[in-house]
Amino acid sequence: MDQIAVALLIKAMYGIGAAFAVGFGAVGPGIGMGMSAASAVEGMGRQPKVSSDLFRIMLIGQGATSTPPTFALVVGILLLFGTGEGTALIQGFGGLGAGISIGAASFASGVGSAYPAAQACEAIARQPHLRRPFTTLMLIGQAISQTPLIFGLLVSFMLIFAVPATPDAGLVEYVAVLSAGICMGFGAMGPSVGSGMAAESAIRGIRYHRQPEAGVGLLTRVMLLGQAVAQSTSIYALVIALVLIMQVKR
Amino acid sequence: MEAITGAELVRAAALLGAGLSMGFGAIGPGVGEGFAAGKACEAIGRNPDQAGLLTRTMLVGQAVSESTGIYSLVIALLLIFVVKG
Repeated sequence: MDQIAVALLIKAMYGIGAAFAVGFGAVGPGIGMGMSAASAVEGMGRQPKVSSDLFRIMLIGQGATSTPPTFALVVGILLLFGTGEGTALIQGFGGLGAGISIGAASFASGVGSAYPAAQACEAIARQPHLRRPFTTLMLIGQAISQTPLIFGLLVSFMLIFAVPATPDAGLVEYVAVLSAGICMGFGAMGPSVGSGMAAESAIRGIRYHRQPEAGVGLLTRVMLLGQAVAQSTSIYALVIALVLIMQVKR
Repeated sequence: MEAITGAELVRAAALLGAGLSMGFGAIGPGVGEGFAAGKACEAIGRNPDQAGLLTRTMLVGQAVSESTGIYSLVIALLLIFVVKG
C-alpha cells in the first residue's frame, strides 16, 4: 500500500476514534447531570426554603459529573489535532482503540457519579441540617466512581503515544491494540456504575441513621471498603489491556 | 501487504476474544459488588449495632460475586498466553 493512502486511512481512523470518544462519552454524563437537576428541582418544590443550598449542591455534583466528558473531549481533540501525520497503520488502530476506551469509560463514569449527586440533592431537601456530611460523602463517592475513568484515560494515552509505529505490524498487532481499548473501556463501565450505586446508598444510610453525625465515619469506611472491592474488576481490565498493548513488538 | 496466514487469524481472534472477555466480564461484578456495598451501607444506617456482621456478610457476598470477574480474567490470560495459533 502506498504511503499517502496509509496516512489518509490513519487520519480517518483517528476521526472515527474521536467521534466515538466524544459521541458515546457524552451520553452518560448528559443523562447523569439531568438526574441531579431533576432531583434538585423536586427537592426545591418540596422545600423552597433550602433552594439556595440545593442549587449549590446541584452545581457541585454536576461539576464533578462533567469531568468524564472533559477527558473524552481532550482525547478527541488530541486525536484530531495533536497526533500529526501517521506513518504506520497500527497508529490508526491505536487511535480507534483510544477513542473506544475513553468513550465507554466516560459513558459509565457519568452515570456512576450522578447517582450520589442526585441522592445528595434529595437528602438535603429532606434533612437540610446534614448538608455537610452529605456533600462530603457525595464528593468522595464521585471521586471513587471516576477511578476507572483515569484507567481509561491512561490506556487511551498509551494507545495514542506509546504504541511503537512499526510498519511491519500485521493483523495480530492491529487487533491487539483495538482489543486493549475495548477491554479497558467496557471494563470500566461496571465498577464506575457500581461505585456510584454504593455511594448513593451510603448517603441514604446516613439519612436512616438515628444519630447521623456519629454514623458518618463508620458509613464512609464501609462504603470505601465496598467500593474498593468493586474496583477490582477494573484493575483486571487495566492489566489485560496493558498486556495486550505489550503484544506489539518494537 | 502480504496475505494473512491462518495462524495469524487465530492469534488475532484470540487477542480480540481476550479483550472482549475481560471488558464485558468486568461489567457484572462491578455493578453487583457496588450494589451489595450500597445495601450494606443502608442496612448499617438503619441498624448500626450490627455493623460488624453486615460488613462481613457484604465481603463474603462480594467475594462470591467477584468469581465471574476472575473467570473472565483467567480466560483472557489463557487466550493471550496459551492460544498460539
